[in-house]
Amino acid sequence: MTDDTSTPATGWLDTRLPFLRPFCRHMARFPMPPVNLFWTLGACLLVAFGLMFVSGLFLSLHYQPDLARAFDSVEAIERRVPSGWLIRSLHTGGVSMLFAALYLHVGRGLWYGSYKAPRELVWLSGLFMMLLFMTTAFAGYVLPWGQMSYWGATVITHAVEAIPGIGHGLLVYLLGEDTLGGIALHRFFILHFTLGFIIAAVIGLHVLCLHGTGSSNPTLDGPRPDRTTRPFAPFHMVKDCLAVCVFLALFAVLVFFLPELLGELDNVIPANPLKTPADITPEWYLAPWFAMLRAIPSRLGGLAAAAASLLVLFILPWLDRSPCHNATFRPLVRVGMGLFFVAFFTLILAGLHGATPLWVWLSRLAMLVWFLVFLVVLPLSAYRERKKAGSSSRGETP
Amino acid sequence: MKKLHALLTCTALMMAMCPPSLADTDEPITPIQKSPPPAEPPPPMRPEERGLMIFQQVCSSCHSMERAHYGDMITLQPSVTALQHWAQQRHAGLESPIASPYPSVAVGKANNGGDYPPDLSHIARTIRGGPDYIRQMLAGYRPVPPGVTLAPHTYYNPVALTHHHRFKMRPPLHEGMITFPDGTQATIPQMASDVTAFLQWADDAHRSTRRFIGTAVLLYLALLGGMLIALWRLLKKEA
Ligand code: HEM
Repeated sequence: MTDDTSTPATGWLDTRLPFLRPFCRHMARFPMPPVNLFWTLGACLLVAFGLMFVSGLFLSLHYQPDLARAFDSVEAIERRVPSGWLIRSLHTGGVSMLFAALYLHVGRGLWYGSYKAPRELVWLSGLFMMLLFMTTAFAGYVLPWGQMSYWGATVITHAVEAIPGIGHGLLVYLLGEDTLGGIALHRFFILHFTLGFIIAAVIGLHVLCLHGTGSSNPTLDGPRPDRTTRPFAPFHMVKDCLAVCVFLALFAVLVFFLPELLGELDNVIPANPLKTPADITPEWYLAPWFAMLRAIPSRLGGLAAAAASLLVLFILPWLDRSPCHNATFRPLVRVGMGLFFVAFFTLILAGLHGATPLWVWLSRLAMLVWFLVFLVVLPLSAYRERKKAGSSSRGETP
Repeated sequence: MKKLHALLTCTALMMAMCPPSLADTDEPITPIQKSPPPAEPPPPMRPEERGLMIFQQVCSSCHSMERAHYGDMITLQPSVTALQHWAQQRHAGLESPIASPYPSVAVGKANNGGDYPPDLSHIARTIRGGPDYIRQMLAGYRPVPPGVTLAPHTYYNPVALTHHHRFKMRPPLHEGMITFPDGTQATIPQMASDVTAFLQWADDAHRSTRRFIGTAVLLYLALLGGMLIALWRLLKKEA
C-alpha cells in the first residue's frame, strides 16, 4: 500500500481520484506513539458501529413503524424472515457491546487525560457522539413496541414535562399527540434511522480531528518517557485487528450463547398502555441517568442533574489545565478517577435495581462523587500541578 | 444435518406457499408406506416434535399462540398437508396466527372458571419459574387433600402459582392420551417435559442453530486470532 511503484490498475484510479494515494499513505504512515491496548478500543468501536449500521439497514427492510404492526413485524423478523433472528440478535446484542466499548473508550480518555489540549475537539466530537448514541439507543428500544419499550419511553419522555412553563406543551409537540402513540412511534423510527447516518458522519469528524493532532502518549508523564513513534501500518494495524478479533469473540459469546443476559424479558409482551409492568427497568447503558432521575425527589432537579452530569464532561478540557495527562502519575486524580469509575458502576447497578432507600442513597452518594471529582478534585489537582510546573520553570508539554 | 434439512424444507414451504397448487409436494412418501420394510424402527422424534402433537391435540383447545403462524410449525411437522389440515380445522390458513379458540375474552373466562388461558407464544420466557415451573406444574395435579374445599371448575395443584393451589386449568394431561409415532410412552411426566420443550422452542426457535453458528464463529475467530498473534509477535521483534 505504501510503496510508490504503481500498477496500471491503481494508476488508473490515481489519475481520476488523486486523493486516494496520499490518503492511504497518510493512514499507513500515521505516526503512533507507544500506546497500550486501551488505544485499540477506537477500532473496536468502528467495527461495532459498522455491524450496527449494516444489521440495522437490513432490519429496517422488514420493520414496520406502525402502531398496529410494529410488534408483529418484529416477531415476523424473528420467526419468518430468513436469517432475521440472526440479524436482529446482532443488532440487539451489538448495542451492549458498543456501549461497553464506548464507556471503556471514554474511561481511557479520562484516565489518560486524552481530553486535554490539543485534543479538545477529539474529545468534544466524541462526547457529542456519545449523546447521539444514547438518543439512538433510546429511540431504537421503543421500536419493538413491547411493554418495556412503551413504559420506558413513557417514563423518559415524561421527564420533559418537568421543564417549567413549556414542559407539557413541549411534550405534546414532540409526541405529536397527548400520549405516546402511533405518531411518536413513527418519529422514533425516523430519528433512529437518521441518527445512524449522522453518527457515521460524526465518526468521520472524530477521526479527522484525531489525525490532525495525533494520538496522545501515555508514557510522557512517567519515569521513562518514550517519544519514539512508529507508522500505523503494519504494527498497529495488526494490533487493532487482534483487538477487534477478541472483541468479536466476546460479541459472539454474548449474542450466541448468553442472549438471555440482555434482559428484554417484558419486551416480548406487546405494549399495553393500561397495564404498568411490575418494575420499569432501563437497559444497563442508560441505567446511570435513570438512577439520577430517580435519586432526586424533584423531577426538574433530576432532569437538571442528569443533564449536568453529561455537560460537565464537555468542559473538562478547561477544568483540568494541568500539563500532566496520565492519572497513573497524578496521585489526587488517580484516587478521584478511581472513585468516579466506582460511582459510575454503582449508578448502573442502582438504575437496574428497584428504587429502594438503599439504592437511592447510593445513587445520591455516587452523584456527589461524580460532581466532586470533576468540579473539585480535577481543578484542584491541576492548580497544584501547574504551580509546581511553573516553579520548576517547565512549560506545558503537549 | 437436521438443521440443514429443516432449513431446506422451510425454504421449500415458502416457495410452495405462493402457488397453492404446489402445496402437496410430500405426496411421494406414499409408495414407501405401501411396502414397509419389515421391522424398520420408527424414526426417533425430538421432544419438541412430540410437544407439538400435544399442543395441537390438547393445549390449543384453550390457549392461543398468537405470535406464531400455523406454517411456522413446519420445522417440527414437515408435512405441509398435515399442517394445512390442522389450520383448516380451526378455520385458518398456514399464514394465520394460532389464535385463541374462544371468540372473546369473556367467553374464554367463562369457560375456565374466570381465568383467561394466557397466550403461549413466549410463556416459557415470561412466566415466573420458566420451563422448570411449566414442567412441574403440568405434572403437579394431586387429589384434593382432606380439609380443602374447591369451588366448581377448580383443580388442586400445589405447584401452580395462582389462587393458592386452587388452579383454574383443568388437568390437561392423562396417561396414554396420545400415541406417539416413535413409540414413546405417553406418561404424564413425559408429556409435561415434551410440551415444555415445545414451548421453549416456540419462544426461541433458533436456540440450537444459534449455538451451532456461535461455535463456528468462535472457531473461525480463534484461527484468525492465532494468526494475528503470530504476526503481531513477528512485527514486535522486528521493530
Ligand atoms: C462509536 C463511537 C466512537 C468511535 C468509532 C471512535 C473512534 C475512535 C478512534 C478510531 C480513535 C483512535 C484510536 C484510539 O485511540 O482508540 C479514537 C480516539 C479518541 N476518541 Fe473516540 N470514538 C468514539 C467515541 C468517542 C467518545 C464518546 C469519546 C469521548 C467522550 C471519544 C474520545 C476520543 C479521544 C479523546 C481519542 C484520542 C485518544 C488519545 O489519543 O489519547 N471517542 N476514537
